[in-house]
Amino acid sequence: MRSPFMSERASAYLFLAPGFILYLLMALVPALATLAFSLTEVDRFTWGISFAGADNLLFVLSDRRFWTAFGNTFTFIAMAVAGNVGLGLLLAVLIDRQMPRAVLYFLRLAFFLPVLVATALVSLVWQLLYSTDLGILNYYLNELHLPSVSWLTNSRVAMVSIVILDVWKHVGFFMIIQLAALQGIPRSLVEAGELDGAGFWQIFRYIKLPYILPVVLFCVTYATITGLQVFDSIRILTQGGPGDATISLVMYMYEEAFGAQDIGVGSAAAFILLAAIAVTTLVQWRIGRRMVAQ
Amino acid sequence: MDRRSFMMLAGGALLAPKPAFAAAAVDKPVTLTIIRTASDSDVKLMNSVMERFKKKFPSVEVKPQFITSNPWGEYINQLMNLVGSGQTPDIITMPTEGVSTLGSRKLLRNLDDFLNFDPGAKELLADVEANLLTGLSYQGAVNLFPTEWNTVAVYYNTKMFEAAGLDKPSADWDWATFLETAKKLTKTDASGRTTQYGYVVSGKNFSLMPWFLTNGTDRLTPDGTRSNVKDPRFKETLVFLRSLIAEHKVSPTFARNNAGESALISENAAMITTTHSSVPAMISGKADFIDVQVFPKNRTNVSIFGAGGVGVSTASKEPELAWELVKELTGKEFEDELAKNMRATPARRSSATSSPYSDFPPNAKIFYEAAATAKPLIAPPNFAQVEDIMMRHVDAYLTGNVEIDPMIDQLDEELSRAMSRVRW
Repeated sequence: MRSPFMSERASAYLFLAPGFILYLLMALVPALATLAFSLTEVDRFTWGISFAGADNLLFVLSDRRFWTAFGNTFTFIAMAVAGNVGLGLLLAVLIDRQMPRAVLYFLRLAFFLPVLVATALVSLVWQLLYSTDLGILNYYLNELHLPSVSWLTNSRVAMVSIVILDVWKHVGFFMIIQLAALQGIPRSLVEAGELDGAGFWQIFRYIKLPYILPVVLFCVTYATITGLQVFDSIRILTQGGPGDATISLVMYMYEEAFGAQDIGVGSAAAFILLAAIAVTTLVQWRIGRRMVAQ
Repeated sequence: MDRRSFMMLAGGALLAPKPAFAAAAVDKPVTLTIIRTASDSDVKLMNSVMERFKKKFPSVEVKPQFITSNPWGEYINQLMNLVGSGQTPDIITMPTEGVSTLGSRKLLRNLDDFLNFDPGAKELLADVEANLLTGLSYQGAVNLFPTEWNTVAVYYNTKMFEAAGLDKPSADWDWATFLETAKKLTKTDASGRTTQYGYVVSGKNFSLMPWFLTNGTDRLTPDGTRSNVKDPRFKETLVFLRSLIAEHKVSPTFARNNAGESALISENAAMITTTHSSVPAMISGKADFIDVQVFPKNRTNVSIFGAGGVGVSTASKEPELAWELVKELTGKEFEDELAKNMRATPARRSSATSSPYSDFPPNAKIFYEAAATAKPLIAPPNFAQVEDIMMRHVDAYLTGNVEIDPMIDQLDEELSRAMSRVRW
């Protein structure tokens, strides 16, 4: 007679299997393949593979462009995370109040709509807006007797322009998440604060913010991970330029793997990116845990 | 095999003095695969080809695979995936940019085997400028037969020339005349804002190339193996282009991938340098005020060309049938249809020099006239990488973010590093 315990265990594995198989096929196998490719030199036409050892990794680490991409990516993250999470929180706080339901729906939809549109599409639109000589932004700046800005062609401005697009595109997502967290705060806590004479800022600082801090930290971590993977908006707006002023880690990886047709170097770059994401997430997680505990 | 197919193949075999391949047996269903670019016009052209081919070879099924060619590196990547997974198509469509990539891997048959022994090829060869085949040859062997090609010319607004009291540019104009012309065509309003640009410096790699060629230089050595950007004439060319934007202010800010077509059509710019691929937009924009002239010269008056062609893969199990499809893809009907489409110059002289192709722009005759002397784009196997490196640095300089000498040093360093890793 079959033991009920075994049957339960078998059922558990059975239920886990679809998710696990998907993870295996979509995440683990490609990750392991990337690691294997990073140690090889591959001719993609003939699939002739030779062992390259650490050559690809050393090539990446000694490449000036890689470190430029590394610096650019973290500059982008610093600005994009602050913009997305900070502005998202500000908008959430502003919307988290009594208002007619229709207005609330309209505001939520208005801010969330850009999230639903493909980045490639909005990047093309923003490219037109940013055009130095024929763009709308500079047209209105000139109407106000202000000088034109080289939004995408000045190496000191281009990254800011990309961040503006990123924040416009994603802030609604972070607003919705933080708004949901704000609306989950027990009304009694806020009312207790109000009875004690706390003002708007004090209630936010000492009641609401500590309560939603885990959600804010989740947003920071999520925005950081997606920031590390920034690609399509930069590729369309500036192609990493001018020069290498806006090249990101994923762009570097893509260009090496599919521009230079060097899968080994591209894979080595991908593996460094994976390590960067893991380390950054771990650091944020530890800092976050400490902040929440305090 | 149906009677018609049999007669065609048997006839071909009898007429051919020394066939390189045995006539294909078409007595059972055969499938030919072909990789094509994925534009709307490509799909339409290919559908017509398949209809005609089906009538000639009813038992042969043609399976096209359409892949985006913007950028070409992406197209080559997809082809690599097909080859790497053992699904090499019978017929490969490829531009000049991918010839050495395919040739160095011996993925294409030498078409001389067919061209020398197929009687039908004589008519084809007679109607196509021989120089065009050089852009699709690898180490002397014709790997692809051209179907279409492009050169870069100056497109200009005839109304603006007239309003500025300028004659139409002549075919022997030079850089100095070009600059003076651009200055006269540039207009500013009372506040100093430019309302009409004389020229738009192209942000496209291919359209920039003639500036270097007409100054007797290129970004790579003629054999395509080493960086050539330390050539003083390379620097001189870039300094001239930068002066058009920053010093003479006849061109708007440099923008990558923008050749200025919309500025020309919307009458914000008087001249642009681009390929024939911009003509369909000019026609649909009703810009009938546009005419065309050859590139101005400095040290030389050579022009550039890039061709697109079709070849038979070495992996094809039906090379004779694949060649028949290549002939259909280079046939008069295909070329006439391509000529109507206007996206490029047909490889066949008869299609490129007659109506409707020659109707617009008025001076359209310059396109096929360039076929005999134009130089093919130097395209090593890492073409996409070379283009990216080149345009990244050129972009940084032309937008005023770096000085010329450090830029050239860095460009040379990167190009040299990339070329040292090429597997020929």
